[in-house]
Amino acid sequence: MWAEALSIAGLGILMVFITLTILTITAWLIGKLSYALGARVATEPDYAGKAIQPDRAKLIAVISSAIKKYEEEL
Amino acid sequence: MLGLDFGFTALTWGQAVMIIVGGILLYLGIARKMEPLLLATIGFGAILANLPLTGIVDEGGLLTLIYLNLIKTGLVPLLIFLGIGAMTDFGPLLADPKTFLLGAAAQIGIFCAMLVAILFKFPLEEACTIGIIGGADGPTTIYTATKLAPSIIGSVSVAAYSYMALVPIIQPPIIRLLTSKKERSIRMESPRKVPRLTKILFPVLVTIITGLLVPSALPIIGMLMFGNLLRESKVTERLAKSAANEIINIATVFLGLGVGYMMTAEKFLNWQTIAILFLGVIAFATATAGGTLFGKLMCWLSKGKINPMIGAAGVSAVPMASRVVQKLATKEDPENYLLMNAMGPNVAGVIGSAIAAGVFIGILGG
Repeated sequence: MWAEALSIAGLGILMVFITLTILTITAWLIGKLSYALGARVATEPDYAGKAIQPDRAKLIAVISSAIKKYEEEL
Repeated sequence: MLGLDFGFTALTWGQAVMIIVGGILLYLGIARKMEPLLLATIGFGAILANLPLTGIVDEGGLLTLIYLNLIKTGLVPLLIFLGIGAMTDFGPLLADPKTFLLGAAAQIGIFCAMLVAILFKFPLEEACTIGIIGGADGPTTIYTATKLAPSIIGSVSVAAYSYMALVPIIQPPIIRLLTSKKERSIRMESPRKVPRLTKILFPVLVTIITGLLVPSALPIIGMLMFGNLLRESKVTERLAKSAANEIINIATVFLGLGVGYMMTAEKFLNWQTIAILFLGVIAFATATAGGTLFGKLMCWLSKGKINPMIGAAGVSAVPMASRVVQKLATKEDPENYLLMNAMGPNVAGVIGSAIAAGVFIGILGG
């Protein structure tokens, strides 16, 4: 029983390390491949609004000119 | 009286003790918030199973049906893996693939506990199942038990989930014992973001590679990776949400009640359960030590760029083990953020323990 237990433990450790080493190499390779294929990191929407916030000055200028135009028309 | 039997006249001491055990599990789950989804469900299942004259654990009874059809077949643990996959972000692991090896090193606890269980005269199949507790992965433990040692499913499940909840108590002294203050203070770079293509290719390739290397691990890994593909493809959002919510929740209810079926007094109250609870600590402790020591080796090889504590997160209790590492890091240096670095080995540990289980099932499952 001990011989069998030790051989199962040995084989188990070996298989875990072999498989995860192969997966390490795979993960590294697909990382390289993705960049080689031109994949870019997906930018998540920025909920704080920083990434999509337009230029405040430009926005104020556009709104001001629209208001001015409206007042002139009136 | 009028042909009506009262349960309390038929209640045995063993059943009374098991109802108290069920109550303790409910207390731990609800009041102490220790793995509440599972411990509260298992606790209630244990109470149901031990009330006399209900027929609930007899042939055709409710818990018997749940156990035979959903647990013994391995269906429910596998559905839980589908949900885990849909909730897991392998990004930190893909950002730094070498942390896969830390997830492998922490599985040493499985094999240590298995050998100690042999010393305790457990048959080989039961010893292997007990060892899997060291993987700190409840569904893997239950799945292995269904395949190798159904008779101890109740005790190994309680041990696995209880100790997973006790990770913040078991791990810190071992990590502190094996690392110096200087090592614990090492800062690491934040993991980079990973392209979507990498995240989509990863579950597909892991499934193929694992299926070819350790076929018996494929049911677990396959469901885990399928769930992850649903999440990362970003085009199957409805399915990913169902897997991460409805499916895993329903499966958890049946898992808890099904394990409760195996917690009747005659199946649970024996010396084996006490030994299994003791071996569970050995499994967790040696797994933590294995991961930490391998972390030290990687720290030395990388000339101090890797904080060895992240190796301890290689036991797969996600995300508890990573939080433990973060807490210890903050204690030494309040501005040291290791959580995301620890998540890499943490999710690698899930894959590692599934492979160890696959090896056991492949050799002994027949």
